[in-house]
Amino acid sequence: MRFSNKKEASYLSDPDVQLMLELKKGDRSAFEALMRKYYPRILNFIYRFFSNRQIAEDLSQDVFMKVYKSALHYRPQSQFQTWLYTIAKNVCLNELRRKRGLMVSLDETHKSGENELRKEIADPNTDPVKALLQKEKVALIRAAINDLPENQRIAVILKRHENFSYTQIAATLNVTDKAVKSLLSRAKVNLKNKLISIRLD
Amino acid sequence: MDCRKIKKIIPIYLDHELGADDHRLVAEHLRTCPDCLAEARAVEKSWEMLGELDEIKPDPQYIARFWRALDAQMPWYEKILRDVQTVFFQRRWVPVLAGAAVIVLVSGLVTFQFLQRPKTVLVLAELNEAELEMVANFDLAENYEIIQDIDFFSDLEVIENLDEFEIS
Ligand SMILES: [Zn+2]
Repeated sequence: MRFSNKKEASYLSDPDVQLMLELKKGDRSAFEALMRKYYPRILNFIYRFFSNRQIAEDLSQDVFMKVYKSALHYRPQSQFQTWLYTIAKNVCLNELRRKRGLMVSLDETHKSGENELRKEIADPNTDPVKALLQKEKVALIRAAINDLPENQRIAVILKRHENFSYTQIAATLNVTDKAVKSLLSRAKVNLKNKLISIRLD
Repeated sequence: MDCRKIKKIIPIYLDHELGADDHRLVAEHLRTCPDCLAEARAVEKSWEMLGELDEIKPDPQYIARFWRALDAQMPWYEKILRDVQTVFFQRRWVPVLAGAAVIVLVSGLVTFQFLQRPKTVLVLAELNEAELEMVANFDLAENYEIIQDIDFFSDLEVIENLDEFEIS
């Protein structure tokens, strides 16, 4: 008991943990402050995982719904950011499992990605040829990330786009630092093998 | 260390997440081995490429949309709890709420008195001053019991105790 209190106290210096404790007392503006800080990041984290805007918006809302609803029983056990991304990771993996359960093929993900691609290309302010090349490149990068096993994919997004340290990734994925090294080492080599042939620039 | 082992840790080396000794070892090897250096450059280049992924902006109404979605999911009693909690949290509303509570109490009392009037008047005619006072207090106590039965007030009671639940 004493130990857990001590552990809890060590996270109290995290200003985001303080905001969660304010929310626990009923301050909804504390929650809005957390949303303003993290919603755009969580949205893009999920968007990079699924390459689909609609899924990203829906799941981001789910993530923050879980944060809000757990406020009543909230106890600081980690940095807020780690806790939040752990929820986001679980929401992503659950969605993936749900989709597999529904036997939705990967083609659909690719198709919706393509539709978005076409929409973006239609932007009249950009040179169409250049934009097409760029978008093709982005589509290839997306495909390379999507082909990674789930855990490698999450580790890559956390490292490359969220700037997490290996220790933070380990805490978020609930694995050892050594496992993170192994995940990222394999992921980076996988990505290299897929992307090195691209010479569109 | 042979090239195969070096290549395996090059991705970690590029993130500066190797121990000091291993880091120095890889750095020295790369200076003398063009093959491993090419591998390191290729890994680095593809890693940098990931930065070209597009970023999306949230729908500007995302906060309002969240509250609406939450509202749609919440059972009615949680909504009352939340609203009262919000009012209590914004201190400037506390006097208003207290005033409102007094008005509800008083009008409840008046209504109760009014409903009981014929019987009460009849009895009061035969009572002295001390007994009158006793009856008045009795009415208050009785009213209190009745008011307590009303759902809204039991919710208020729950809200008063909310802090106790929260500490857990
Ligand atoms: Zn070598």
